Amino acid sequence: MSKSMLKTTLAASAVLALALAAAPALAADKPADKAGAPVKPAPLVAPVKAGVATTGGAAISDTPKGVPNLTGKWINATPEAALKTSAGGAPPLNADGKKAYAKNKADKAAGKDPLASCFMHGEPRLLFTKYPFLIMQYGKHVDFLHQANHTFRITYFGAQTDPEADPIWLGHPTAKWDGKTLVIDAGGYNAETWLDYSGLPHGEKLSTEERYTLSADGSTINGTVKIDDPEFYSKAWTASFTLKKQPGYSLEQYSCMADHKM
Amino acid sequence: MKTDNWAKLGMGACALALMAAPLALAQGPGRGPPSPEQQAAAEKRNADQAKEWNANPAPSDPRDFQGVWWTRGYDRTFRPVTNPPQTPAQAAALLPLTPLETASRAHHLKMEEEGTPIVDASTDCFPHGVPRVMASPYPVQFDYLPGEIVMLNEVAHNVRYFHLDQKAAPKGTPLTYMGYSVAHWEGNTLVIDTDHFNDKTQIDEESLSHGLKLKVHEEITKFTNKYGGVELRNLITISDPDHYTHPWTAERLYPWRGDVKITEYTCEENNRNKSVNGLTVAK
Repeated sequence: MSKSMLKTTLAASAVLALALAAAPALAADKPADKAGAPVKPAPLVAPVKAGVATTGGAAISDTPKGVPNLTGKWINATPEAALKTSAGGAPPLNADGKKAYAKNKADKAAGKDPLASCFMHGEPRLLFTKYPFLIMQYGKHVDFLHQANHTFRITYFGAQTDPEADPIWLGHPTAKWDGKTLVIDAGGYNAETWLDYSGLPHGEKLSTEERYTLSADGSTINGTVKIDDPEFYSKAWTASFTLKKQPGYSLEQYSCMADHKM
Repeated sequence: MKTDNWAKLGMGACALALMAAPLALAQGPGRGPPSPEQQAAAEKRNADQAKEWNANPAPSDPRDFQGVWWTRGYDRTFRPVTNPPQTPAQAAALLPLTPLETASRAHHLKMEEEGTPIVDASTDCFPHGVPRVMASPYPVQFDYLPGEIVMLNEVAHNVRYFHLDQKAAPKGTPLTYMGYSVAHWEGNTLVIDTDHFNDKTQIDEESLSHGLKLKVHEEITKFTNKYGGVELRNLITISDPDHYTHPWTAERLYPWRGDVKITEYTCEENNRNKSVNGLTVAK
């Protein structure tokens, strides 16, 4: 969303905020002690009391029984700059795809990678950065939070996407379980991103299917992403990736606008 | 601007109007006190909202903040919280400004008055900073990990990490827009201490500044309001001896919004407010 809209909203709400802030005037019959210690707020109406065991700050997972919990810190151990098929071959670009790829590569050489403007990476490019990310899994949604430009993608299980919804940078995802494999299907991508760092193209007809399977020891996720875009590829194709768990790692702040890292 | 965001903003604008209404009905500049009918309508609206927002209920565990919360309305200033509350002018007079901050604030207000507000980090799509981001009129989501709580802000996809397994920022922590936060529980209140800020953000959108000595202490508690709705209250204490003569505490409330999902927000796309020669030029 553009910043301008925020400003517009803020301006529109400023009047309301003023009214809001002015509201307690009836109750304020004298100013607080300016020189005194920090003034005290009103007590809470009713602090929520512990009715169940508290978390103690630990993670809460309402993951259904029978499926693995992927929650944790991960890094792509196979962050290829140029995606290949799972068999190691070249993606099946059609004639338009080859033209678009050539243009993107020329743009990249000229410094016109979309990331140079700090736009969102798009998918699956975001999955193939060299930076770690968090997966936070719940019963109703699974969230991916990437160190790369503090980008997050919140994915609801069984999400219904309005077919009229505008295309956006990370698409409109929906999650499901296929046995013990987490599956995320998405369409509704805009055409402003590349599939990878090399400039593999896609259009708005792109749909992706990501599959995440946890290893028996919990240290690895074997993943695939199926890419289907009839505008630029002669058939759907699949790339593979491997995620390694990064226990103890703290995600660092990474602002593309500040650092211009890609 | 994307359609869904427009729709959301439209909804948000309506919500702002509706949510602000009950309090706006109280006496204010140029207004009389609300009529009994208006009061009753406002009470009903608040009760209806509490019911609607809690249809997908907030977690019952007082330490479980996981899910979506959304502050009411938008107040672009931070002011000392008082009991009883003050008028805006009274609250502004309570700000413990140093001479440096007095001059800085006057300059901010003057530039805004002239139609050329001073550029804030968020104007150019940098992270908003703290506590600036805590005033955002966009929803936020809490996620929990072992030893860590994460706060996802819809606005410009800002992210805050609250490290529960650390008592202070590690040696060598860089100075950043959002600072470095360590947290612990005191009873059922999440206590967050944040420092290691750079000096490129503002305290609030209107006029308040800070420097490298900024420290922010937050205490977040879940409570049930008189309408049965669940809210988080954040008491935000701001310390920066170069800008404020003593620490001062502001307050923000975030109602539970079981009916809301965080959506994609890309500041960098079509940023028509991008600064020109260091000035905000809203178009």
